[in-house]
Amino acid sequence: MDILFPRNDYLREKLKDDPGKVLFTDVYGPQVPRQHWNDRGTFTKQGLYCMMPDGTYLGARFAGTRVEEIHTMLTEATNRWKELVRERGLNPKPVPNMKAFSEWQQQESSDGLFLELHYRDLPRAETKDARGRVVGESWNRSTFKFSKEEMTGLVTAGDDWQEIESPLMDRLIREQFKDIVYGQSPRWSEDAVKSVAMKMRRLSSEGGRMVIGYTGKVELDSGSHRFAPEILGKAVWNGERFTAFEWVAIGPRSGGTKYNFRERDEGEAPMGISLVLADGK
Amino acid sequence: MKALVALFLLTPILAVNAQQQPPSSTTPKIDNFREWVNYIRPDGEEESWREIPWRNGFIPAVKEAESLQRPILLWAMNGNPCGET
Repeated sequence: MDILFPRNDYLREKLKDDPGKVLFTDVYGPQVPRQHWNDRGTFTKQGLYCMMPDGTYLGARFAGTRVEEIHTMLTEATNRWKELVRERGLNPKPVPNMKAFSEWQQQESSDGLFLELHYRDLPRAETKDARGRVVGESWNRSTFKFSKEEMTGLVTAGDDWQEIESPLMDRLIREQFKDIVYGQSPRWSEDAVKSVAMKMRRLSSEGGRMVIGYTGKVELDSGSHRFAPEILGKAVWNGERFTAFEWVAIGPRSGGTKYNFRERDEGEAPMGISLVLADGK
Repeated sequence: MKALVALFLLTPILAVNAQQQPPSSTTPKIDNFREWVNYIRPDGEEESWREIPWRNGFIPAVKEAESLQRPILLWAMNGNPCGET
């Protein structure tokens, strides 16, 4: 979605006549109150924006995350729209239903192991953190894909524990085992991976299906951000693909990254990540 | 940056977390595994945003909104909604 914020000269030139960029930036943008149009000096335009198809402004919140604020904005936008329906004599038709995610997820799952991850703070002694946020109330999600070749590295027919190959785990944990409960964090550098020990074994098998168990421990530490979870998981392999997959990674996190909003909450506290199939079902 | 576009009518009801109680131990074990998975994953109310019939493309949604005579809600984030934060 470069049309939202063409962030360099090349993109600005390339997208100057793009219909999406023109509508969002040139028609809608000038109508948005300055405080809701990113006046922080950065290029990003992440946020929620309400408009008519011709670009008429209905509402906006740049990077809004507070439920009450977003609710107010959507209510006001809906009221403005209702006024425009009357003024313009519109006759709104029902919106056809559409499953935006299931097709995409099914497609991604067709040639590999496509996982959905969720991130949440776990209970600690205090019910609120230093910023006044209720611990456990916020969460985030992400997705990760092992290729068809990679996913077979998570399969074993052996009854004894065996190590999972390091490159496989390294890619997963560097990209995904980070603190994004409240925002963004970059992938871990190679140096930040202090230890990885992950093993698997067959728990049972029947009729071509195997239940595989996983256990392990990881330590990631960049100097300013640390996460050291223990991992436990279970999956079902039918000989061609995983038909079930569930892992949890739970452990202490501390510190923070530039955009993960952990200021004043940098002390050690438990965080959890769940990994399950993202097959769109 | 990812974006989702919805053609909306009613004021959406924004979800408030209603998580179930977590296990007492923060070490994942066989006997608390299921509870931890359920605690970390969003519950039905938290996943209610998925019930909105989002469109994945801006201009196709604009054209559709034009023909339906409806407004547009554009949700653009660096991480959510499509993941890979």
